[in-house]
Amino acid sequence: MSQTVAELAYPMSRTKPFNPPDGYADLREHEPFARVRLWDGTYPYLLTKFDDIRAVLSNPQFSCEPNREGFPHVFEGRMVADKADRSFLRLDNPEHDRLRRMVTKEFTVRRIEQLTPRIEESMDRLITQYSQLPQGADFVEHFSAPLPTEIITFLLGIPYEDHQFFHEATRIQFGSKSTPPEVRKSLDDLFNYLDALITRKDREPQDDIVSRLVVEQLKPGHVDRLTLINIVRLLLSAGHQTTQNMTALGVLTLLQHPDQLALIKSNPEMIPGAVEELLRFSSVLHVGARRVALEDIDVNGKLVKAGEGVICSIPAANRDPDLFPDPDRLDVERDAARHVAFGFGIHQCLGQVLARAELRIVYGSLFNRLPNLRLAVPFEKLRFRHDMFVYGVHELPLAW
Amino acid sequence: MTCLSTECTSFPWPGEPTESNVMRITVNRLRCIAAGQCVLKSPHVFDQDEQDGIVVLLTENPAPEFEASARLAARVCPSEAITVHDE
Repeated sequence: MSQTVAELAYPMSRTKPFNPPDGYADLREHEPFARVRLWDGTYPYLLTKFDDIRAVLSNPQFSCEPNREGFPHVFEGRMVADKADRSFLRLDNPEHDRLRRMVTKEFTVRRIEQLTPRIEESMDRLITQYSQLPQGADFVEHFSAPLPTEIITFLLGIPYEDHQFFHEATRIQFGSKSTPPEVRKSLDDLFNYLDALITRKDREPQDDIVSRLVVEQLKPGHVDRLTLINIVRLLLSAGHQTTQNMTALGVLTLLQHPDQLALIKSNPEMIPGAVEELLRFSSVLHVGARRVALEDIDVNGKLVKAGEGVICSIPAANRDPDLFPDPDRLDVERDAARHVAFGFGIHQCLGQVLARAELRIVYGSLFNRLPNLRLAVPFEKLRFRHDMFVYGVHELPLAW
Repeated sequence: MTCLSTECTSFPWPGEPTESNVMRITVNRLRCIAAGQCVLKSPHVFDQDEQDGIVVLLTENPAPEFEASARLAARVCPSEAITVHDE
């Protein structure tokens, strides 16, 4: 048994695009702390039970710092980017909280509520433009990518016109096939871009997040320049990549589940619950979350030794039947509130209120604006993002 | 644990007599990471500080109609900064 388990390669491939790899259910039942082999010949644990994953992610003795011995690196290129990351995403406490609190005021429920008209304006304009394109136009390129990018660049004070540059940077830095030199070059280019941006904001501060960080944090010396560049890079990449993929995958999921789509079309009050269910069902952060034990730790009766790596599978946690009965069924009426699609513990997504607002606004309007929205190609032709750190579809040709 | 928010001062502090079988909520503002889930789930009980997004407890003893949502907020809080005391 241990031999077979040791030969499980990670990441595993999916057979059904909407479901996690088939093996997860089996592992959850029989081997909830499975050893999996990574590209570099290391064997971290893969955790698949909701309770174990929550226990690890809320335990400060599990570190998320990529330069520590034993931290699991899932792609070679991603390792380079993770090791260079000095944002709070990749820092333990106390430094994590100190840096995160420099930006938390920007993403509160109240601030995002104030942003709602801006999101609606972008969405309405993008739907109008999209509907004027030829039938079969790519929904990712013309809607689900531009929408969150417009919003996060507006908030940060970054010119939207540069979006191709940082979309390309994201593609390289989060792709499973990117080589270390490619990632290093892309990081250098992006850091130089953000360094110049910070210089501009320093010279002429405006009403945006980067300006406030420069004035309130960089100039008084609360944060050094390289760390600030990393924080802005995090906000930029997390602010467009995840929501872009969740938006498109959620639209596709609803189109493939017409009974569920009909429910939310006729019951708009069900949209917030449907967003939670779609977040649970899709779990676009499909590799990770990753940690390394700082000391010997008992996790619900299982000893994880100091220095051992742990991969907490978010998709597996969100399909745990102990929490979500009949987990592979999309049910917009179920109580999905406890899902961990945004992670759990101190690193849980900073932008989740914004992401929820964008998703609610899109799912609440799109299908009414374009009531005949449908796939323009056979489902089998779609290319899913098996090869990327964030799951979704590469293109989504729709008709309306 | 006392709520550090000034907005809490108009409500009973721990130790003050409260009715029996009343739910009591406390928050740990040092643990809070300002994810905002409590405000989304239970806006009558929780708010966020304008300055840093950190949790502000609007009432230590939620009205019965808000108890379920306050309990849910405690369960989904990612930094486990909310405690429900059933007394």
